[in-house]
Amino acid sequence: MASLAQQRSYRNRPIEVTQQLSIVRDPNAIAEDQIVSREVSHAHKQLDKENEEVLTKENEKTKQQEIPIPEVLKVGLRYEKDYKPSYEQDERYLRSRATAGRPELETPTTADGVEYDLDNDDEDWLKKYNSSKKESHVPLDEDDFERMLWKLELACGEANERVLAVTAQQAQEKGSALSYQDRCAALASTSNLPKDSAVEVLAEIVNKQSVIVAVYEYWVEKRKSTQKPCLRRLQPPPAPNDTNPFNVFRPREKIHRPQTRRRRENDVAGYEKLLRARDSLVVARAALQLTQRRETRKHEIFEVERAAQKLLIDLRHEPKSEMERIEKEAKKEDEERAKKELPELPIKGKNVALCDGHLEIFKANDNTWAIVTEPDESEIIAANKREKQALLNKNKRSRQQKEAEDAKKHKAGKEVVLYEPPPEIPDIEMLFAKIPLGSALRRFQLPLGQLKERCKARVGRCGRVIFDRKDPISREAYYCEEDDEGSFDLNNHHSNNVTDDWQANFDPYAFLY
Amino acid sequence: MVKPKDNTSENKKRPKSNDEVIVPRDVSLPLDVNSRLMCRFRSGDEFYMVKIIEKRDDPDKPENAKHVEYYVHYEAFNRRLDTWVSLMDFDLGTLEKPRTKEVADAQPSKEDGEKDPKKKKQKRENNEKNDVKVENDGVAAENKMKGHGGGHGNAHPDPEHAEFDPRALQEHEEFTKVRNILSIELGNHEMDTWYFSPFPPEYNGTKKLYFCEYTLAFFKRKEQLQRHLKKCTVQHPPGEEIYRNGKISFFEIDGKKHKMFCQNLCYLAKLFLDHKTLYYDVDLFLFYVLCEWDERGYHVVGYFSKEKCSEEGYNLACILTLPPYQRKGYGKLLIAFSYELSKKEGKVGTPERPLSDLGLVSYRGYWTRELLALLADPNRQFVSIKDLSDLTMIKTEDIITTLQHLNLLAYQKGAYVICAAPDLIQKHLKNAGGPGVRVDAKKIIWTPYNADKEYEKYRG
Repeated sequence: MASLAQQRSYRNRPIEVTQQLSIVRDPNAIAEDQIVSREVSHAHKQLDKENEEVLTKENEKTKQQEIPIPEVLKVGLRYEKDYKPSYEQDERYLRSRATAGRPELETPTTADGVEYDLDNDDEDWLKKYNSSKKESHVPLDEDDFERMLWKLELACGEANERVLAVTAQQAQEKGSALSYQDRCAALASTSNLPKDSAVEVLAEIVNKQSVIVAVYEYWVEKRKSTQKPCLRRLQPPPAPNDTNPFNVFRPREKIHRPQTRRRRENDVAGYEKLLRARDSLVVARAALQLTQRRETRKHEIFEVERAAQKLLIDLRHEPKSEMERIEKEAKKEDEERAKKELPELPIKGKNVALCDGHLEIFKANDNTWAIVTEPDESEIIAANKREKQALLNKNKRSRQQKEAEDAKKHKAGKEVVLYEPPPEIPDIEMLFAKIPLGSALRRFQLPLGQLKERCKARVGRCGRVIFDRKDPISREAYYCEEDDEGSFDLNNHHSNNVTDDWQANFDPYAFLY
Repeated sequence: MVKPKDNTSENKKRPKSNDEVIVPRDVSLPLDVNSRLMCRFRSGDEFYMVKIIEKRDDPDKPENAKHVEYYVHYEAFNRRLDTWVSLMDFDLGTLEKPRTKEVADAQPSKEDGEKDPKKKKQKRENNEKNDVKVENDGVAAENKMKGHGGGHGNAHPDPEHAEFDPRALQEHEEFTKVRNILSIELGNHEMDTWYFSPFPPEYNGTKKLYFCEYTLAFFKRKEQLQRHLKKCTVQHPPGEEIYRNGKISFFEIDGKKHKMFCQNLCYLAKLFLDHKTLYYDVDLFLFYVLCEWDERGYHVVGYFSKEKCSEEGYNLACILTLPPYQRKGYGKLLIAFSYELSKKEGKVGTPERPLSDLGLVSYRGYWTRELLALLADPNRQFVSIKDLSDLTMIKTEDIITTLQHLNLLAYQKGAYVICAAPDLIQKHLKNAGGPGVRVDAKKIIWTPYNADKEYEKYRG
């Protein structure tokens, strides 16, 4: 099994979607094992894995496999009575433009617009109210009751909005904003609609004072107990930071956006963020340029050393007659290199310019490094450039005036990103510079012919003990006086063979400490 | 393929009442939550293994162990078939008691959702009975304590991370495991609901809801619906009709402009969709509502929603065919329509994941039919995945998955090839089923959503 899986794994590269694939129509042209079943990886695989397993059952009538679902019944008679067969189809598609002159067609609201529908509490109250045996009692029908509650909701909603607008403005003048809780409380309140105006609103529907008062009181009581408007349209949405999953349809706020639906903002904050990101990128580019420069130098040094070595070898091994030619060659190479080499940028006392001059590094008086970015003409609008230029000039002036706090001042401005060098590595004792204790070394058995006296032990990487036979830098063999001769032999032998030499230094008598 | 596991119990007659049920000596009533046993499937003659999710007293016969009602999950099927059953539906001989840990874990969750103090009292009594049992089984009482503590701690989820907090998610799972609304009436159809839907708190404890077919407003009593219908003069959904072909129409409805209708639609849809969230407002979505129309106006058949601007390239967020209209090819019509809109926009699209079982089957069928129709063309010698995508607006990833699922992708001599033997293609096309109700692209009168234009209109 394992080997099969491994065999297949090398095929697991994704299909190149733009590549033309040949369509094979001969059913025998493809062997079974060439079929690529669900092995090729692609971005959706993880998601598709989460899809539900399909669980089926045989249908008793059709004898076919299907996913069972609960039964559906017909309502029948009552449906036919409740839903009137009065629809006449328009020739044209139903569009809001087409219904522009007839706003009632636009949304399926209700005939004369009563949006409110009685709920169980309303119905129960009305039933109780109408069964009252009081002398002054006037019966109230459902439609009027519905209309009264609706009008109360609308009037109250308007009054609340008015009050809310005023308080919001007051809050703004004070420099604060209305909290979500304040808004909800304001919308839930019924006190903004004075009883007199409420009665006035209701008087348009029925003219019996006792009914009006009873309905008004019922409504106030209902609102008090639910703490929100009765019309769903007027109810405030859940707070954006409310995480109860049973409170639904909350507005999408910037911070509480789910991760699946990130949206780009096109505002000032976004712009500033982009500017900051740009500055960081410029700085990063500068750092990379510096690194590159350093690495180039190192490479050059290496090349020079290599050439020097080669020439030395040549000088030693080639016949005397060649000497002149070799020296000439060396001189020529030297001249060429001198030509190729870039003139060194002045560092001492001057700024380092990087990224085609878009960025400068300078050392402030308090010994901190600061990076000044200069805008790219093509990318940044002119106004912004001027502003930055001014800042930059200020930088230069102040540096000339040798103001110590200069760098710190720019720390606050977004144009200047202060460069802080990485923290210095504390002077720790290097483990591999230590010499292991003699008592610890006695345990080691060196290979035959190797004597402990001719080696020097040191602690290597990972705590290995390494026995060196030669000093890695001076290449002089370690030896004790009584073994003078043997050590000399060893040394001679190795100088003839470079690879052996290295091995002797780096390898092998390494043991775990 | 799922077969009833226990054939011996198949021929058992259903007792006439719970009182007639003969309880084996080793079974103690009421049964524990998390017990597994065989149960009659939907009042039929077949028995399937179920797990008891929840239990409650019969309101008519409280405190009677034989009349306790059980909410069960059929292990062989999707959660949508979970239902309340009574003792007479069980085959008690097959009872497997829950592992003791599960009993302890089940305790706190029961109390969490309880609001009715009377019920809570009963629950507590149940708990006590169970607790005694746990101790009899020789499990330390400490286990049970832990369960309770954890349950109460869950009541205060971390407000910062609750959306992704696994504990909050688990709590949510706990709360939604039993459907709140058991059935609904919509137009001429009465149907069982499939899943939990977060209706406003006023609807807690309501078992049946009556939906208005035109506005999708919902009511607790049918008289309320009847009164509402008297006020309804418009017999079609809001928004713009963008397609009409015979008796079938599509409306495009902007969630921002017709908030109430779209919210109602979401409440309704959640009853039939497991992985749908109503967490955020409908403002950012367009709803494409499929209707049948007749002399009673337009009847909502199904819908799909679509983000106004999707950064992930989704051309569909949620898709649903209402149960009365399922298995009539409407799901295929909805999918095909979503891709027709993508073609008009010139944007490749893919549905938002995860897909439900029904959704996955429909999508696979659609992708198979579309792609194989292209591959079957004998004049085509070469094709790239990108070409197929450009022709169908199906995302390249979906194309690759579909071809792999059908085993049509092979690796030969260092290159991928597509197997398209005519017999094989015909076989797969047959398995993929018919195309359902077809879309006539010429009848779509539609302009893609333009955010800038809408904004201008909004500002006036």
